[in-house]
Amino acid sequence: MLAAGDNSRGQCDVEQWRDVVEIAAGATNTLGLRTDGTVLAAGNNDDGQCDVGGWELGTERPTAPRRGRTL
Amino acid sequence: MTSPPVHARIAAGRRHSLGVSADGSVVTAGRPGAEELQTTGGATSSRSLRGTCTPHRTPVVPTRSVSAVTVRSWRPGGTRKGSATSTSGATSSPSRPVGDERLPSLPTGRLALPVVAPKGRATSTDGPTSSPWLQETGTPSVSGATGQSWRPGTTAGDSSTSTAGAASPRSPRGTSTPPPSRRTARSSWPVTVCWYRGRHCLA
Repeated sequence: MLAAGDNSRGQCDVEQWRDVVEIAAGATNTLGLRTDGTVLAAGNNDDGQCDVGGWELGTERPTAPRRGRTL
Repeated sequence: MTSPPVHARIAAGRRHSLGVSADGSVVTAGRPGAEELQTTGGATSSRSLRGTCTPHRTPVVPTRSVSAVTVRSWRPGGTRKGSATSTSGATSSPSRPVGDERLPSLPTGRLALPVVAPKGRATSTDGPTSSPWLQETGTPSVSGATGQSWRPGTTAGDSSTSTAGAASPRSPRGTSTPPPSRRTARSSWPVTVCWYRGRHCLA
């Protein structure tokens, strides 16, 4: 994963991230969602916005099929 | 037939971070400001402590397209049973304890709420238009001369207060139903109460 721009708070230090399927960039922090549902964070953590180590958001899953008759 | 897959989402703000898990729950981290970490969809706000950032999950309640409407100009003291609770005076009385009355969900977009009684020529300028959610459309067909109005707070049999209401910009206290006989005598009012979501009337 690559990042560019202001790195004054280390928000671009994401080169070690792998298996990231989605990212979100804050003002001075960066989040990355991994395929296993865990979240990575880099950058400013003055307010704790990068304390996402305990997050497990789950993996992608299809919803239950709808009930109904098939034609 | 299967629906599109549900996957987790993340979002980052200036001082907080949000995550939506695959099951719909929400986790937050960061500054527990006044509004930054309040999430909608759940019954309570999601909060986390500064520094600790304990993952806090807020269950997401499935919502309808229009789950509720907040009528700020509706008088909490009024009875909901009255079908003609007037909202005309709500904004003109600053001392009134105006509350954000959250109304229950309705099965349809039609809002069964304050129907504004005609005042004077029964224009639609002093009624629900004071509420950003409600807007009266159409022109009530009040026949005859001006000055005939129904004053909230009166009853059907109270004929002593049937004239001064039009000139008074303030609504009297209390809520009540308009005189049914007068209402029927003046034909039906073509008043449509729109339930707005954004700028679109759902009626």
